[in-house]
Amino acid sequence: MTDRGVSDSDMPTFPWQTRPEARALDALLSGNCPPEDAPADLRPVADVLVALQAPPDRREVAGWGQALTVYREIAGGPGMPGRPRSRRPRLIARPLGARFAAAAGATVIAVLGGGVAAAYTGSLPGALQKVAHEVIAAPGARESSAAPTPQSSGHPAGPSVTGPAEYGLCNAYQHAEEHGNAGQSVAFRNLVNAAGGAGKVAAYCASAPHPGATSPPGRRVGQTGSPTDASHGRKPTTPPGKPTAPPGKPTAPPGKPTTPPGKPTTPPGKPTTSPGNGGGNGNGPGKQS
Amino acid sequence: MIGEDFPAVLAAAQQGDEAAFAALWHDGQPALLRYLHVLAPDTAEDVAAETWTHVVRGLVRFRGTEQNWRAWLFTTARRRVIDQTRQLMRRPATSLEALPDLTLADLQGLRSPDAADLALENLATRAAMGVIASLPPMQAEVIMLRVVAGLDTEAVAQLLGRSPGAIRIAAHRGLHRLASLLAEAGVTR
Repeated sequence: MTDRGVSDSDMPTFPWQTRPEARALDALLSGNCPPEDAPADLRPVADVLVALQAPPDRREVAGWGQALTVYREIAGGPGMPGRPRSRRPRLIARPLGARFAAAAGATVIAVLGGGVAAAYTGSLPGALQKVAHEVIAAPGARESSAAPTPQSSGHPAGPSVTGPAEYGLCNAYQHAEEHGNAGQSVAFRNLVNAAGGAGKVAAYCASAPHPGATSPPGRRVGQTGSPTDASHGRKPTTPPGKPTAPPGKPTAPPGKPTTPPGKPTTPPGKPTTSPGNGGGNGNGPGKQS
Repeated sequence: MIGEDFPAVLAAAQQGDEAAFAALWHDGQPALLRYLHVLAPDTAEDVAAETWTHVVRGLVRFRGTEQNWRAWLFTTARRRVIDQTRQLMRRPATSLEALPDLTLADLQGLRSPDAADLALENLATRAAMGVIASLPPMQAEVIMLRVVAGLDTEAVAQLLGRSPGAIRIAAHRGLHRLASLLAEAGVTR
């Protein structure tokens, strides 16, 4: 019994199973085996595993408003050591407001800063697109075109908390769809799931709450040009470090650290800094640790 | 999973970019909640929120791959659940080193046999979580971490303080058991 540290492929099969079966199980666990490809007797199991990974429904992302409040408080205050003063979202928001696709590169430049960004832009243009869609998409860039509505920043807790993200996602989804890559992103899968299917996204988005406004339904679906979102657009109304308290009370008050942020890089087993795929990661806008 | 964009997304989130944080959160939260629902259905939402608060506080200092990130997220959540269980059960405090050896068996008290009270609208997912929750705790947790958290065998082994071999065995046994349960229930395809 010397399995410790042995990689999966080298591991012995167990007496109660055959080697091919073990392989099939490993494939299922790794998500490398669609149910159709599973051995017949394992197909129901494969179905269960697929269901476990189904895109989230609305309730599962209902905590977003609260999470954003916490993030704003911590990221906007002294809680983020080494963080530059300027608020990045604004930098992002502007170029995006102008033109989504074209802004992708500019966005990352804004985020990462010139030199580093060049490396990124050079190495992963396709990825940038995706980042821009997926990430920026959610909170869009609304501020350039409209005055911030007081509403959004102050109301992370309402049912529309997913609203801002959804709204941005809708815009991004459309855009991504035009580029044929809407199916790849988790965020988009979330959206599709919430809509009840890829074919229903348009209808769903048409009724998605407009962040900031109570609900001008159907309005945004067509305008890929200006993804909107509450989280960014509102910046002006929300002084950094001082998020408006959500009306409903958050389960986890931002002020209450349940645990001091102890060395995050090191989970118990400490998979600290494995090289991984992070080609550009190392030279990120370093927070000197 | 965010994939190849993860380094850029992480870096942006560390800079205070809300959109990037939104991507991290929306990618992680659903999986986190499902995992927690299997572990501790009654407190899943609260624990998830606490987990994010903790993670956001430590965010700028985080370095690592997406696997590391997920491992950190789920480790943080797991510790919360264990802490909570301890409080509820008034167990004598254990040293930190002993933590990883605790398994779902320690959480039995918080665990409802069926996941009937899940706040989920997706029935298939809900049913799937219910059947997973009916497996022996260790098997259930390993399956959730492998399949839902997306962690590989090594990462799960580290997270649970077990050997990779033990993790693999638990996962396989769990799937076998699952197959039996489904067959008994007449689920076929």
